[in-house]
Amino acid sequence: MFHLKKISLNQLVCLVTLTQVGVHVLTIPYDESRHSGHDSWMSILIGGVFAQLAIILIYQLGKRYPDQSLPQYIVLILGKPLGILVNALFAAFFAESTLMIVVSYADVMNRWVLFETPWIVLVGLSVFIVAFVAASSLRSIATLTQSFMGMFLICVVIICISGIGKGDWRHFFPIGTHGFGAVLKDTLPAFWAYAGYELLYYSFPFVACRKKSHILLAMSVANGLTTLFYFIISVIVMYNFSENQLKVISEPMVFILRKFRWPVVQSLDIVFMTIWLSVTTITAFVYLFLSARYLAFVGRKENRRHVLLVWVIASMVFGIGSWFADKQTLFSFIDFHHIMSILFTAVLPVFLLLVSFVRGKVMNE
Amino acid sequence: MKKVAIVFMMMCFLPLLSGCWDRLQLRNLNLVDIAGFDRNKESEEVDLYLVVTKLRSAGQGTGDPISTIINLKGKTLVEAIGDGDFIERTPILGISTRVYLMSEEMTSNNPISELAFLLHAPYASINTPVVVFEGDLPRFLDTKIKDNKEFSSNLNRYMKSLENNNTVPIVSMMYFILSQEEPFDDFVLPVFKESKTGVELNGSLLFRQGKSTKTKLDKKQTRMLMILLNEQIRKQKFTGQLTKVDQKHSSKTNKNQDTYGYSIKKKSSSITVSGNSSGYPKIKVNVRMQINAYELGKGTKQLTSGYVNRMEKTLSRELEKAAVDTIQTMQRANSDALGIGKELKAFHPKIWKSLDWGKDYPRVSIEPKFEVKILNASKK
Repeated sequence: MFHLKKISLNQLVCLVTLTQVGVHVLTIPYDESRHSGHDSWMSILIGGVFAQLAIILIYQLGKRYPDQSLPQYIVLILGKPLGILVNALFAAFFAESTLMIVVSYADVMNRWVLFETPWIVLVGLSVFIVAFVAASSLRSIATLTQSFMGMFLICVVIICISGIGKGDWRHFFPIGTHGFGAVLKDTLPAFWAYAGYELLYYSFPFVACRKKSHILLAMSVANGLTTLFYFIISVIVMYNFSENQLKVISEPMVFILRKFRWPVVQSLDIVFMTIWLSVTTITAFVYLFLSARYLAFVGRKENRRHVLLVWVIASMVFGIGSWFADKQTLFSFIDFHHIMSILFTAVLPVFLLLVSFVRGKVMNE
Repeated sequence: MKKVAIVFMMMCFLPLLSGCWDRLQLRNLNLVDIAGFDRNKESEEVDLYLVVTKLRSAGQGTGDPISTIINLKGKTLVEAIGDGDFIERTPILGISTRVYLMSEEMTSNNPISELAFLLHAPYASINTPVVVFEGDLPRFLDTKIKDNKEFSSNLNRYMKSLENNNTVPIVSMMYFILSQEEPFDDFVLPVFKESKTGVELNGSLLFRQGKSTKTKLDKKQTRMLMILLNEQIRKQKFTGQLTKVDQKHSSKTNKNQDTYGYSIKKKSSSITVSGNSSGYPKIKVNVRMQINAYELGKGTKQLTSGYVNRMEKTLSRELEKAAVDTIQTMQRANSDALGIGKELKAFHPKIWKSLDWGKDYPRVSIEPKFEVKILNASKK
């Protein structure tokens, strides 16, 4: 019942772009400039290229089983017991991603907007909205995401307006002094920021298109938009802050937003962060939805009680999330998430594709 | 689809909510207009003066402003603010602060380390300009606020005009604090002093790596600095006297001397570097100006083309002389407010590597070159 109706290519672009873009926007390019300094914009671009490679891998995998989603065809690749295990791992990974996004944005809100509001309320409200949406069908989610694109564009305008102004282009020069090695080193944190395209594992058979290659095109457009957006942000940040100044500012975007003065709105940063909540919510509910769908395939038959699964996972996320008010715990959690992220978005598709390729050859022979 | 509509509405209204715990009632708030920092010479304590304005008998778009000063004391600035919790007029909010005034005593004593907490403090404005105040800050604030009801709003307007017209480089609190991290980002802070009606600009104070050099540029030098920097100048009248070669410099103002007055229509400045690998690089600051002259020389002389061409050269030389003086003052103070170090680092990395900028900057030759073009010549 959750995949009878298909989503359009247009909706796929919106879904993937807005799932990719998330809490990370506030910190770009802090993590990406630890080695590459003022050349961090290169790391961001190369990170986008790597994300594109991962998309091609996932697309190739999906093309081999065009009528099924990963939780269904994984059994064909790995066999029943192993396939179910991977499904369970995927469900856990997406639940963990939901938790990670909810918690890290609650942390941002707690530090910059709602100082007094109890942590449990912030996490609880976000989880409630996220679960409410995730309990619906993929098509509803896609429609909702499409309408949120407007919010995202408002945020882009706010970022551009507050970023222009007093700054110095000389912060970019001399270009490339940090060396290619340093730039490549910082591509890894940039690559994490692009996560979100793993949505294609699941959504591949549900996209209405005349040719399957259109899916790859739509995914590339989405990834291209995200890359462009991240690139704009890193250029704006480097225009405003020099390499040395960036060392002490871990959330440069917040400071750029605070820099802007406008008689109508007193603190643009607060306005931005509240609107941005809708964008991070998208990322969270897409992950929660995926988590429930993967969980549905853990077992002999597909579990069709999607709504129940979503609320069970959501209450677990809320339960664990309530304990993350301390920032140090959050940091170690983020580190853990990054490793998981690499595993599920880059290593796993390569592995699955190889196994499926070998199996296909064996079958043919 | 109904669900989609509900969620969409919910998200749209979200920016309007402040939450149950974080709401602040407007009438209880003390919004700070001006924050003044001073250090008491004897007790070594920091004095924080917050000018808070409220509207009495407020109606629709009207009301009488009443300003009061809240004085907080503490060993450091943070402690002084912490002390504020025990004062009856809390909560004090700094989100709309228009200017940070720092006494000279405060600037001379590494102010950034005390102010750095502002970067991460809630309800603090970090985009507000920092200004140095020359004179007795507490007495000044006290008398001005008693005498002049509209002092805060006047000061606000004055700051705005300084910013818009680019009369003086404006440094916000954020960049002031961050300058400590950036070794090649020297700057000047505007210096205010008391005037009969309020405040007036009295030059600027040179900073080096976030520390005061205790050297000031006077009003004319500050103006020259603005001309040398690559920023557009608006709505300003530049006036002065031409020194003639045959005339000896007399201490008294000579009424017969030629005066000039012009406004800048367009201006650009660039830094060129010609370096040899062994010695110091030669740096040229090239300024091209298009000006409208409304006074050149004495009397009602027509601005014929020949005269204009001659005067363009005279004026260029005159400006160069003034620029040399300004640059020398900055070099003596070892404050690279023109950003030449940044330029070298960005575009001439080889030369930059051969230099120890902190030591070499005062010794490098920096030559200003002006090219003035008078736009409003008249017919022969």
